[in-house]
Amino acid sequence: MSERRVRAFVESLRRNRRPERFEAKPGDVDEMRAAIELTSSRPGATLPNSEFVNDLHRALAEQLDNETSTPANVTALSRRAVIGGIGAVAAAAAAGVIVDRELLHSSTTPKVATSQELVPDEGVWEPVAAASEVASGQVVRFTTASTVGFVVNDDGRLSAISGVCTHQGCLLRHNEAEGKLDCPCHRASFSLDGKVLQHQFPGTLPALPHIQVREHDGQIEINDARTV
Amino acid sequence: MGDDPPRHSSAAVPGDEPGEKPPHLHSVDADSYSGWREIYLDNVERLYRIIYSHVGNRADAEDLTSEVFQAALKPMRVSASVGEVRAYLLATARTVLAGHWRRYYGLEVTAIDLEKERERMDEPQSESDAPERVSLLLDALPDRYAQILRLRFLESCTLKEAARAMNISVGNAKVLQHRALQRAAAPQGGEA
Repeated sequence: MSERRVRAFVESLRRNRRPERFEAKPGDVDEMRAAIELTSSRPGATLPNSEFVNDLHRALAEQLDNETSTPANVTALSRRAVIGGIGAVAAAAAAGVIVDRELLHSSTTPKVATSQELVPDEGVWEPVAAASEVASGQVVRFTTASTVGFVVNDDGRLSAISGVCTHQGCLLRHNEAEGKLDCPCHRASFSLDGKVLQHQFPGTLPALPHIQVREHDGQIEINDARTV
Repeated sequence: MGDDPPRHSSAAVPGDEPGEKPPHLHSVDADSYSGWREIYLDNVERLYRIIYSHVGNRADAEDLTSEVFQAALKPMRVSASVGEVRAYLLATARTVLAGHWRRYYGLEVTAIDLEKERERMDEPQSESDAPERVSLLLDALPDRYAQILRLRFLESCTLKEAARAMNISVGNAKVLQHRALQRAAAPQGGEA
């Protein structure tokens, strides 16, 4: 009876475990679907484990970076199903995706150091706050068309750091009480000069990049990417 | 088009050396991606979130997310607006998910609605609509149905604990849960 199998399916989901496979009947689908909806509605349930994200990143790097490739290799790859991928890729192509630029070209990928100063190729000084708003001891969050960050006035010394967590790009929150920046996604936190204070991941987490900042005509300005 | 595409080189990049973390900071505001790493880092969480909400467990969500990236990144040559890359990933995910259900359960239990999920792909990663969705789902149910589902799924009670909390037998709790799930699925109109 599939009723028993459905019950086992639901119980597995409830425990966040992989359910056993079985031949489902059309009448089973509603219950299975509702269980999926409920388990994925639990707070935090749909966030990927950082270990999984890092492992997959490394596995993809091994596959993609090692394919140095001769044109023949590339052709062979595009013709071969990769874990059932051909059908998927064909479907995506059928969905109307325009394809004309090689994205696997690592040599054109900007090399991003693990911690550095953010200096755009084409920068422009962009006002982000009035100088009067950033008094001594103040931390002010700013956003521009291309950057999110914090300006810090440490006893008259201005600095600016990125407001994007170096783990997976979540936006950091200023924890005023503890004088640090917290990531709402995976509990990393950074000092106001960008150093990593704590994180839960294996290995190291890059510090927050610094952003060039200056006071000019009563405005706090950052060296921001030109957006036009 | 027509020209030989640039091939990726095997030059060392940050993140390849043992012990070094991959570069997680990337230009999310750009109109396009510069390479597969950026595509991956910007989309892995978005895609995982959508896939998880269609399979409801971590192991399958991880397997299918891996499958999507392995299938989509290798042949990807894109004129590269961020939107087009995400649409491509999502279309790949839809096919991978459909294959998963057919292969292991013989029919499609959930399907990715490209239009609806395309919007979710663009949502900021730190935001979650889980509390709203679960409230909507439970509010639409009779009290006892909502209560058993809340106890079992959100408060992780065993059947015995849920039965005790509701002052019913374990057998009744089992039946109540079964009916509540069927009822919960009904208003969704056929697609999770």
